Amino acid sequence: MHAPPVGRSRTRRQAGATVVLAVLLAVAIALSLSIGARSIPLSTVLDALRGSASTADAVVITSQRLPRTLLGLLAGLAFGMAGALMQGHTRNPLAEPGLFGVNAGAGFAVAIMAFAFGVSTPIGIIGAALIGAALASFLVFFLGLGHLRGGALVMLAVIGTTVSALLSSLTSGIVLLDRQSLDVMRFWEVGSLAGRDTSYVPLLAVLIVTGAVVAIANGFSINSLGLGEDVARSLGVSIIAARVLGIIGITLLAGAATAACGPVLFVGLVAPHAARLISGHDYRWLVPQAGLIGAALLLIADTIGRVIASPGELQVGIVMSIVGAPVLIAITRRRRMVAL
Amino acid sequence: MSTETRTGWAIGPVGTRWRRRTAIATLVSILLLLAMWWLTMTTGALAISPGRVVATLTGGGTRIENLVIIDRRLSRLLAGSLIGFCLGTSGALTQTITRNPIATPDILGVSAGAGTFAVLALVRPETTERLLGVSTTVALVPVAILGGLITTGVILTLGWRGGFDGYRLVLVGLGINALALALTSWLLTRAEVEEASVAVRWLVGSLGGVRMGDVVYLAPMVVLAVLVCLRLAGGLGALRLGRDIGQALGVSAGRTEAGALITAVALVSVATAAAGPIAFVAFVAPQVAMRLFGTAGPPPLASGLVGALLLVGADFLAARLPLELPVGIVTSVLGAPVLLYLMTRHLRRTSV
Repeated sequence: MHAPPVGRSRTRRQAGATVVLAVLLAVAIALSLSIGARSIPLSTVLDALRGSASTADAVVITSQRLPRTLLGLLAGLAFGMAGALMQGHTRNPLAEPGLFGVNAGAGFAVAIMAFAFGVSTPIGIIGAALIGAALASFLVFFLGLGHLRGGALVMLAVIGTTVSALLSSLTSGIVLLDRQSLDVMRFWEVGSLAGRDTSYVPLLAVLIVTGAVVAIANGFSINSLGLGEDVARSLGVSIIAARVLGIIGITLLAGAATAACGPVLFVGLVAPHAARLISGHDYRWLVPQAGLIGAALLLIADTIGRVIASPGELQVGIVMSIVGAPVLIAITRRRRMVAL
Repeated sequence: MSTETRTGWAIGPVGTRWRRRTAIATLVSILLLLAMWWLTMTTGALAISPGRVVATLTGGGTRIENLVIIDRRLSRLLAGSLIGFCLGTSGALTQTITRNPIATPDILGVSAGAGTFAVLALVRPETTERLLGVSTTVALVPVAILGGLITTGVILTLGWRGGFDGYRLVLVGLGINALALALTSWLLTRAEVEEASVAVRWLVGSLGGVRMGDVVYLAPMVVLAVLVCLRLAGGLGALRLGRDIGQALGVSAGRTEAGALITAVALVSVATAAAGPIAFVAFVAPQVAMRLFGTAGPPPLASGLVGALLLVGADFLAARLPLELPVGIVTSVLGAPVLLYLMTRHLRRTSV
């Protein structure tokens, strides 16, 4: 018989796993910076980042790849953490901002803002995305917090995807009616890191970092909420505060990430499940680990999209669907749909 | 004709009783469809008077009128009605054999899968020609049907786990749908697509690209479908009572289900080859038909009629917006709320 793992060794293991994931993310960042239409050796990348090179390659790195990688890093981190929060709160293994319509809500709000009211400032666009995400995540909580079992868990996913389909149809409708913006939105709609306005990055970074802090803090309450609301209350957790904090975190993360790269599906589904395989159900660790995995996943998907369709490129949203759909099917094929 | 309850007709195994509601609903649907045809024929970018429409159809039109009425509007209406019929009937067949309103080919991703194979054939014309020995335009429909059948096989295999569970099937279908659409987008980036509208057609479905040539293979398919549905009607009706009761009534459940499934997949694949994966018509039409015709389950042929009406109506709307939208967007916007309504009603019933 093994002795049950004591607190310290478990913490050490979790910290070790997190470090490994951080290294994985660093590799993904390096790949994202050096691979593309034109492969650039890592040494040149490092020189360019230090500012000590002024070749054409260095200009490519600093003006194009760096902002794109940064955007992917932020968006992936945000989608992964938002997925972990949604799975933790709804205890639904299929919960994720993409499948449940939060991203589509943000995307629809952006389309309305941009094409119906003609707003194109970063603050306007990001504000719209946040409002759309907030409304959608509130709806998900409202529908998803009953004591759902088996079929109803799946129903919620189907409802979410239908809402997503409806909203993205409306978005395409609005966009197609405005011919000039068609080309920009056509790529944004399926999720892409290419050609994004870099002036968004600072504001997005602030929002996503805030959201990440909220999410990690919320992870502590999710652990207690997992024992049931009554037990959590007796442990001194304020249920309302925890849920509201969860909605705020999901809104900031999913809204800002959607504003960054469009309504990408499946990152928020795959990342928390991968993290759960590595380190179990402890949401104090699961939330940040899902963020690291999400960021690495999105960056690798983006890099793959740049390579396999050259000379053109495949939008990251499409690569994520090809990677993520089999995961969705695998989860579905488990013996029973169990609430998390 | 001795009593009112026994009026009707029968030819061999096929027959029907005279029901007033069915007759009225059929008449209303046909009249509405004719009205949509009339509206579409006479209005649009170029308004043409009814008299001129009749004259053109009977062979007395000017060059412009011939172009607009025959080449554009008539072919689009004919193809649209036939495609709508295919979608509606195929949805009714799958809803009947699965006894699940959500299990339709468009929601499960069968049409998206058929579309992926069709695009594959289009993107790789030389490979298609070498493998099949015919040109891509000829191969498109068979390839789409093959794609639909393969996709269905994959969905059924992945959804099987000691039996079919409706929810699992739907979720597997959602995954397959996302996968197929992503693969289609990928294939389209590899293709030299001159216009974005072609891409839109293969991703959301549009009647913008249909030609008279599509009617040539759509029409026989619809005739075949009508015959198969008439042949299967009795068996499907018995299976609606449950597999066991159906078999006790002398229906071969496996054969009826297989026949209906293959017909449904072939129909939806042909429709997809012509217009791309149009969403929600196969799902909504049978549900509307069931309520309109007052039947116990989704009626295959009536659903086809309603499907034609829905698609022609949606296309009428889509083509007359300030800038033309692909019809698939309009059907999604109209169909998604119906799905949401059915789902939430079900959710309320099962969760409390």
